[in-house]
Amino acid sequence: MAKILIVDDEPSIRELYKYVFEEAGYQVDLAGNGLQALEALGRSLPDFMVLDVSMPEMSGKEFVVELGRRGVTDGRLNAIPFVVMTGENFMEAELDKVFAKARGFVCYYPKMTPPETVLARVVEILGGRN
Amino acid sequence: MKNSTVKLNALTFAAALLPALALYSCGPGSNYCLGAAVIAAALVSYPVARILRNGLLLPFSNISGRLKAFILADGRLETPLPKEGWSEAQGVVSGLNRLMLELGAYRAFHLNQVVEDRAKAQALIETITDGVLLVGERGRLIYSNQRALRLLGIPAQEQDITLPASVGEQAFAAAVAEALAGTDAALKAEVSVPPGPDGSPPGKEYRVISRRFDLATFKRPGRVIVIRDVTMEKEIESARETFFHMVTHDMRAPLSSIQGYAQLLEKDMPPGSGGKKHLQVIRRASARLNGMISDILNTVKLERGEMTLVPVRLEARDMCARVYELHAPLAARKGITLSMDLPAEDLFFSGDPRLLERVLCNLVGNSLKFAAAGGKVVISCRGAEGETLFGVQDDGPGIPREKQQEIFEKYAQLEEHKYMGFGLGLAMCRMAVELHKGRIWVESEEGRGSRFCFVLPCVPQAPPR
Repeated sequence: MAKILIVDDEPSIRELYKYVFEEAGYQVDLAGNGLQALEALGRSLPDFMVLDVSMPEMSGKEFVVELGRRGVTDGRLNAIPFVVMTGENFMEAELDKVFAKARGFVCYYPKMTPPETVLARVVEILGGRN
Repeated sequence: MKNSTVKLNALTFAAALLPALALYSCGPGSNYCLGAAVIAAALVSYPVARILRNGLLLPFSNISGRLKAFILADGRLETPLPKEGWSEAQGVVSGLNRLMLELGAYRAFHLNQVVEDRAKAQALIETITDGVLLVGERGRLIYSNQRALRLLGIPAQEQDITLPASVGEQAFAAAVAEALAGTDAALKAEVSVPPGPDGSPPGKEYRVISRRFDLATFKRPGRVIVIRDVTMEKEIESARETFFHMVTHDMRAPLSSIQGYAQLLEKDMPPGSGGKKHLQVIRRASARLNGMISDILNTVKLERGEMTLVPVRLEARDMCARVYELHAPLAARKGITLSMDLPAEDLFFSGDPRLLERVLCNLVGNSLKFAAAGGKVVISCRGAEGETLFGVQDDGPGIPREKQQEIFEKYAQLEEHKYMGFGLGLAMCRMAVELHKGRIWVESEEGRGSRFCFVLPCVPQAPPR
């Protein structure tokens, strides 16, 4: 069963994504910020990540930078595909400086994109792995 | 057919059939058999009721309870509803879970947005140095930054602020009242706050700008009021004028000596001699310098409304010829053909000769500045419907359409001409022509030269001042 890691500081958004992905038959792990996401990666590696940008303690950007750093020694870490959920506070050009360069980056979605849209993309990328 | 439907059909069928079978097997009229049928009915009804309870009733009762709790918890779903009962009930549970989770997420998201937007607006508005107020109907203060409250002398902790009643700083009271009473889309007023009793705090100059705004949520339009400290701006402007005044006056005296003595020396020189030519160059250069000084002085005077016109009866062809004479040597040196296109008859008008000659000199001087070697500049005049029209045409680079108004503003210069003069000439021309109740404009196309024109009324008039 493919595993999805949802990283968002807003619990209600995490729960919504968890529900939709679990309904679709995925195993879901949750994290409230970048640090928690790193802990989750320590437990087991997900097949896909849904990543928020603005989070306390460690933001989505910082998390991806850290992932890239750790990926030097463990190539599996920065190979995990991920989508980025962006709020209106960000300009894509600024985000691109970190995310677009990352190995696993798939695309951006505006915050509150219906989870089914993201799910469809995940299904497309993971293909028959689920 | 779905599993649950088959199950329900089978149970209903059994519930109906079993008592009937019991009755039938015993034959009609037997009490024993009736009892057996009742027992059979009861035996079948119990599991039917249980199945219905577990498959439909319990899930729906759960749904109803959880929906109430969800509403009471302000749209927060702690844990999704368990999927139980028949597949139809599970479908309803799944859809409801999805909807409740999404509703919760949307609420959280929009709440965050509102809080963030407010914080952003506040951060922006508190950072700017201007005082900013947003005033709703009947002068109710909707929003303001601390700076605005301080300037207007309104205590920050005051509740229900209404303008202009709450304004404590008397210097602003009239301007704020005027801004709020006005119906124009945009209004501007200047406010002087006198210095404190012993000169501290120092006196300040403010500009009160107000603009009407309409928000869908407000039934009546409100006003945004911006209070800007323009003390420095005004001081700089005044210092600049004083500087121009001083410099021009102090420069005039030595320049007059140069011009006068060059003229004297020139008289003593034999005609055609090298010395005479050199002195002519000195005289022309100092005349040009004198013209520039006049332009600066005129601009300052015209701007302050201190220019006194000395109008006399003038003749247009004569004025063109004088300006032509002044510029012919420069044109010749630059290889530009300077010519005149004049009417056959005299053309009289009224005006201040010194000022109007400077206008024409500026226009011809500009054309000579921008025309290339081999180019042409034509000075013309003609009578047109009770007015005298002067024109200076060149085949220079032309002026872009969007700049054709702007170039008549003070210090406005085309980017490519940034270091060619003060940028005062055309502004002075406009003010001088307008003081004569005339108009000035340019007709130009990029790459195809320019034609500067101004018209003056032909009928002699009393001086405006």
